[in-house]
Amino acid sequence: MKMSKNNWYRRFLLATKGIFLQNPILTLGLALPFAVVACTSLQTAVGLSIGALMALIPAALLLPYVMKWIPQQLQWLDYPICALLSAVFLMPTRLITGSLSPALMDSVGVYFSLFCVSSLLFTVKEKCKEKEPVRALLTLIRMWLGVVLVLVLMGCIREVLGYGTIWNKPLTFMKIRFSGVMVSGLGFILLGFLAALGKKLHRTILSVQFWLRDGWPKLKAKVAGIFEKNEKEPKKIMDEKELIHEEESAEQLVEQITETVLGKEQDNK
Amino acid sequence: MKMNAKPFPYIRAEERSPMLMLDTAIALIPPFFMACFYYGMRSLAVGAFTVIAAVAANWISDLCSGRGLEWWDASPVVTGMIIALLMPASVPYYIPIIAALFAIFVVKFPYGGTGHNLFNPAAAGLAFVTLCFGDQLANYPIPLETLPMTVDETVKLTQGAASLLKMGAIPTISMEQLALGNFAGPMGTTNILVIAACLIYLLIRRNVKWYVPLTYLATISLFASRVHHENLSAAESIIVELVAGSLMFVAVYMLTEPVTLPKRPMGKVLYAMTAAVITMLFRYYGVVLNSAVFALLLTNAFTPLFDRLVEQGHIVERSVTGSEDE
Repeated sequence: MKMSKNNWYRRFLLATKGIFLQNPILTLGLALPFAVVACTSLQTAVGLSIGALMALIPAALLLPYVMKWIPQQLQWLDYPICALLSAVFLMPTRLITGSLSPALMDSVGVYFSLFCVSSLLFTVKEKCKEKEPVRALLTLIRMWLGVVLVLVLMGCIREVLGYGTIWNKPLTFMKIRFSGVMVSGLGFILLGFLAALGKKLHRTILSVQFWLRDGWPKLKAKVAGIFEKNEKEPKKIMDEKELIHEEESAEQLVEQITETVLGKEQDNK
Repeated sequence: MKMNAKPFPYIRAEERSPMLMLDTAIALIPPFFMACFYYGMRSLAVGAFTVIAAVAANWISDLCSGRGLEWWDASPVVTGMIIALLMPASVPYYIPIIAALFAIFVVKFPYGGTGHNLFNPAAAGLAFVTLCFGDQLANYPIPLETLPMTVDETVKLTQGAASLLKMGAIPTISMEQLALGNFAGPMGTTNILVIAACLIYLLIRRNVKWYVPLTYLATISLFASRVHHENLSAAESIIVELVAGSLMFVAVYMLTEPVTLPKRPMGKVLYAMTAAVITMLFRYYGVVLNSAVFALLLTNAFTPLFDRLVEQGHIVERSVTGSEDE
């Protein structure tokens, strides 16, 4: 199924590339440990999102400028330098967030710092390598939003199912707790289902669009054809002879019925 | 020349999948009767609810996938019966129902339904509820004390023999009790003689290859004879290990599931041996209950590997024999 260039859905997907189209976690399979192992509640999801923001965006934006100072022979050092830059921004963020909300940092644990050596950082770095700063920033923000979307979804679902709470507030309708969803194996299954759900949603939108484009005009034409046919073939107007014949036959039928009914009554008497 | 216009398969075996599943379902009825004898009508109610949930989930999956209703498919019945028989008779009704729904909706349906599942659905369902509701599955009612339909705190529950073994203790059960299945445990797995009789039925019906359960149990026996408790002799250790948990049940009904088994006999033997070794490692070093079920799930992931290994072995063998003939 191909979409036309002016299709609103196509334009929407391209404008949000990185969030829905080519999502870093669901489609590209990056930063899986964060989503599958660490992200067990909404609070953790928020903590990880802050970590991703501070680890990815400044490091990927500043790296090209820093690399200009590095001699040509040492350009292969871009990966460790990117990790170092990321760590430089992560450390103060960890301290500030930890002092503001210790519970948030406790829930994230060691995974907060692991962003500076994750595959997500290096993929983002490569994507923004030869882009203008504004374009690079937009790409980074879109990719970060894609990560946040999946982390928040995973965190919400696992917290509701596993603890029966949302942001540590108990939900009264959750009587049964599925504590097994906290296990990373089931986290993988949940992530797989999210990916499948996304794909199903995409296909449903596409099929609805194509039905509106191809199927709906056909249906409209078909219905219009039926009406036109009815208009072209008006109801037959009966002749006088036919009317008289029909009336006679009806009278005969009534007579037959009355005779049979009367006959039965006499038999009963 | 007359062309065969029918779709494949052109050669059909006598054993069809509905008949295979029906035979397995028939072989699962005697353990249910024994559970009814030991724990009362509640065990049958647990079984009925689980089977209904599994069948309903399967029908919904069939309708959602657009295949149409396959009402003759008895595989969800087997899945439901296996799940119920691996539960304590005192289990709350919702737990086996959740296990059955997980087995069908998460493990069976996404892989393509009956005949396509990569993992044993019943084992996966049971593993899920063990992880979620492990505390409620760890204690078992005492046999021959008829359970009320709604279990409350007045019902006496004890630890199973497998749990005791895991903690390093030796279960004090006489040989007579072991043979009769008169000890606390999952409601369908303690009746060893009944399960053995069902195995014979399945062997006669050619539903099960004899070497699969035999290899599994032999490997476990070998393991148990080598690594055992100080106060137990090798023979006692073998008997206790084989009878205490759900090993026999898993060996007869779950390990021999045709969908998850490798294709060739050598692959099946390797599969059974691996399952046995992982089971014993889980028993000795693991923390979760139902180690045989978790081991089976892990072994299911190796099935394509066994198939490939054996196939490559055959290719090498053929090339060697071919060169010798020349």
